Order: sequence, then C-alpha cells, then structure tokens
Amino acid sequence: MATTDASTTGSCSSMPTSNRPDPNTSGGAMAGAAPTPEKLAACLSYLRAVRGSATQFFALLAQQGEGSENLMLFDVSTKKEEQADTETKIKTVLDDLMKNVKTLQCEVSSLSPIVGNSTQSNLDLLSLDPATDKQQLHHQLRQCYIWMDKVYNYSTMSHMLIGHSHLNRSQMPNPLSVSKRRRPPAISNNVNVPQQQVDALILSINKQFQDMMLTVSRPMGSNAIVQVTLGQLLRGVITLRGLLIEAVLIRGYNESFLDHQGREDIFKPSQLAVFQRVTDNASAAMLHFCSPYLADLSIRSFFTWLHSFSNLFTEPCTKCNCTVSNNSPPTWREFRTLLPYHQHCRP
Amino acid sequence: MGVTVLQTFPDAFRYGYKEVEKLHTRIAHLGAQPNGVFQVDCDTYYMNQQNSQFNDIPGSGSTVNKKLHILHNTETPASTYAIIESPGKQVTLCADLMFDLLLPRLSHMYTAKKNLKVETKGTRFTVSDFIVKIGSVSMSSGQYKGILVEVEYLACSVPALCWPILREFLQSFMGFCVSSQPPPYLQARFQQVQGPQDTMQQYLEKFNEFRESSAYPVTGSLSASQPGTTSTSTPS
Ligand SMILES: [Zn+2]
Repeated sequence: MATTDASTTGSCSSMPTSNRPDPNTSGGAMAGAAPTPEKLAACLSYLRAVRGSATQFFALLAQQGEGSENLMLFDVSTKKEEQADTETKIKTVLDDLMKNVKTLQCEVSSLSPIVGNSTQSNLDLLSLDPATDKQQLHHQLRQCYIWMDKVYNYSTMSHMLIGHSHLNRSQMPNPLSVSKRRRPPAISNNVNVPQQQVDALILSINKQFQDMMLTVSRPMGSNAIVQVTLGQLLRGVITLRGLLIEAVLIRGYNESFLDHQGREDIFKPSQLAVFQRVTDNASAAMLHFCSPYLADLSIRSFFTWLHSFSNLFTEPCTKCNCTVSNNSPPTWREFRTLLPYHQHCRP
Repeated sequence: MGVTVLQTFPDAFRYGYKEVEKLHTRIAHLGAQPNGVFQVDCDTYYMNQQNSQFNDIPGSGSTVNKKLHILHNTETPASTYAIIESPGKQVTLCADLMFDLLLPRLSHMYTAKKNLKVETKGTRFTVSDFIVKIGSVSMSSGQYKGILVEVEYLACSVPALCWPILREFLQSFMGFCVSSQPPPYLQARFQQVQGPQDTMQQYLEKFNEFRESSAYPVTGSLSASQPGTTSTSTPS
C-alpha cells in the first residue's frame, strides 16, 4: 500500500509539468522486474497519467473556447494566429494522451490474471473486511458451516441405519419402496432438480390414477405448481420446491381456483369447512410423507394418499360406521391403510 | 351451488307450526344457526284454449294441457324461473327479474290461475357446509298444505358423489320419513352437476304434489294424512 501511495503522489506532481516520459520509463523498469504489487502500483500510476493528460486536454479545450468568445470582439488576424497556436498546443497534448494510453494498454495486457483468486471463497473475502464490528461474522459463519457438515453427516448415517428397520412408518406399503429403499441415498439435493425430472414424475403419477388429473405450471420461475383435480370432488394446488412439497391447498370442485388476475390462486383457502379440514390433514400428510432422501417416493405416496379422498362423501367412517358426524364427512385418511375416519374417530 | 334435496315432512294431524318448531329444535341440536328467512313461490298459467289449438298442429290437438309456471326463490333474488310443463316434457328458462313485466303481454297466450299460487316460507339455517330451509307450504288463500324441507350440501355438486352423506344428514333430524333411495328427480340426474334450475324443478314437483292433495276434502284428517303415510311407508 505504501509503495502505491508514493508512486501516485509522484506521478501527480509530475503531471502539471507535462513530464510524461519520466514516470513511464521508471514505471516500466519497475514493472519488468518487480513482483505483482509493484506492477499493479505502476499500472495505477499510468492510469493516473492518462487521466492527468486527459484533464489537461479538456482544460485546454475549455480555455480555447473562452478565448475565442472574447476575441470575437477584437481583431480577426490575431484571432487566427491564436487559433493556430492553440491547435498545435492541443495536438501535442493529444499526442501525449495517446502515448499514455498505449503504455497503459501494454502494461495492463502484460498483467497476468490473479492466480490466488480461485482459492479465495466468499468466506475468505468476508474475513478481509476491515470493519471491526463485522470481524466476528467470519468466525461465526465458519462455525455454522462446520455444524452444517456435521448435521449432514449424522443425518446420512442415521438415515442408513433407520432405513434398515421395518418400523419406518413414513413408508407406504408399496412394492416400489422395497427396491428403492436399497438404493443408496444418491440424491441429496432435492431443491435444485431439473424441471424435466419433476415433469416426468408428475406425468407418471398422472398416468397411475385415472380419475385424478395433474397439471404442472410454473407461474413463479423454476419451481412447479401442481394442480390436482380429483374427479368432480375436489381441486388441489400443490406448491413444489424442487422435489419437496412446500404447501398444499385443497378446495371444492366448484370453487374458483384462479385469482382475480387469472393465475392459479395458491393462497386463498376454501370457503367450505370440509375442504379446510382436508387441507389441514393434507398438510399433515405432506409432513408425514416427507423424506428428503426419497423425494420422488414421498411425492408418490402423498398423491396416493390424496387419491383416497375420491370417496370423501360416500364412504362411512371405519370406526363409527357413519358417513356424517359433527356435520362433517370422514375427512381423515389413515396414512398406511388409507381408511377413512372422522376427525374425532382417529385411531 | 351444491346438491339440493327436497323432502316433505309428514304432518298427518296438520299441527303446522308445532311441527315446524319441532324441526327447529332438532336442527338446533345439530349446531345449526338461523340465518334469515326464505321464500319460494310459484304462479301457474294455463295456455288459452284457442291458442293451443293452432299451436299444436302436429300432435294430439287441443287436449294437450300446457302450463307455464313462474317461480321465484329468495336464494337467487335476481332471477325468475319459467318452466313450461307439457306432458312428458319440461322446459326451464332462467331469466332476469324483468321477465315478470313481460308476462302481462303474454296474456293472450296464457291466463293466470290465481287460486293455484303456492308458496313456501320459513327459516333458513346453516350447519357447517349444509344449508337447511324449513318451510311451511300454503296456497294463496292462506290454506296450510304441509312442511317442505330443503337441504343443500355446498361441498359437492354431483348427487352420485354425496347422496350417502345427504341421506344421513336428512335422517339425522327428520327420522325415517327420509327414503334411503334418492328422490326420483335426483336419481334421473345422478351423475350430472346440479344447478339452481334443478332446485326449482324439484320445488315445482313438490308444489304439484301439494296441489293435487287439495283434491281431497280439506278438513278431513284421514285424507290429509294420505301423503304422509305414503312417504313413511317407503323406507320399510
Ligand atoms: Zn367416525
């Protein structure tokens, strides 16, 4: 830093005297042998020289304008002389400027890109922050990352251990799950998934159920919104984040699913008590089925579960054998057996 | 718009108001909140004889008895329903309320039968997603005819998908006068999405039943119990 300051002050003082070649040659000699910081300092000094001569040039132009205005009132011949004089002046200054620009260009092109840059992450840059109140941040963030790594490792280990046990309640009794459970947890990042993968998964689920229609749209960027229409019974809006279900909203079949701008309404809850309750239960099911390592299976299980609502108003409760209780149909479905229960009849 | 079921509540001894009160307390036990009043009325016009003669050129001639029913429902206050009834066929028109002003101009085609005007009035209740309307039916003369209960389930609009829950709900406060089979009108449209017109056609059907019952002597309790006994006997 100190060397840069010294050289800049030097070049600044040399500028008004238009002694351009002097700093140029000295800088060039310095840059040839010197390590990177000196080279950079020399480059900065050339830049200053360029700026200095540019300022000089513009100042001269401005002066000439003022002079000519005054001369208009006086003699024409003196004006011409003056003009020729200023023209030569401008020419020399301009030549100077061009020369400076050329040397700067040479010097800059000889500078190699900084090698240490690739190893410097944002974290390292944070540690260089000179502000005293922000110095703690680097340390805290580093600790945070370390803990994240630890949590990740532990979760990987625990997932492998729990995956072997048959008490895993969050898996559906699905023939697919047996083969998939043996698969190593390859997909760990379910948030950044290619759109094609999401589309293919939804399409395959769509084919699986005849009376349930799924349509994918992306009104808010890369994350998909799946619209479910189950027969003439209910409509659902499922917001995905990558392959994880983020939000579920269930509404009646004849309730509008578009907002006033004609886009899918993903926030407005149903006006009907039944579907408000189904929405609550679907959100619970979403959390129940969520398994970050088998995201596609968790989505599949969720839709299988949702499909079991096709007999919402016709199937009696498994426990009390009534269809309507508390003025409501059985709005709860058992996660594994998919049997209908009333909210208060749950086992 | 959900599925609507109309059910006659038997009132064999013509207690009228007492029976309605009974239903009110029963529905209150289910947690129903009274929510205003409602009224459905029906005017009937007969097609003029000379017009029907030259109107019915292709078919059976002047014996065809065409009727025009004009219905209003406080649930859809801006609409007038016109139902043309000819044997075996019904045409329903759902029009603006302004349609009523058009009717005097049709007087050369249709003549009103003032004594046939029938209406049902009562209290509207809401219970969760159900709307229950308990109305007493009377003729324009003020003659009490019976009790008509309307239940609408807002969450579903196809009868086939929600008949079990509707039946159970109806039975929960009306008992066994509710048949386990859906009413014929719904049965004919079991897989179709129901709309406001379907409600009005069911009302017309029930109103016609009530009018026909007036063919019996009015004061005789035996004849008045006739529709009640038939409806109770159906489930068994
Ligand atoms: Zn139950």
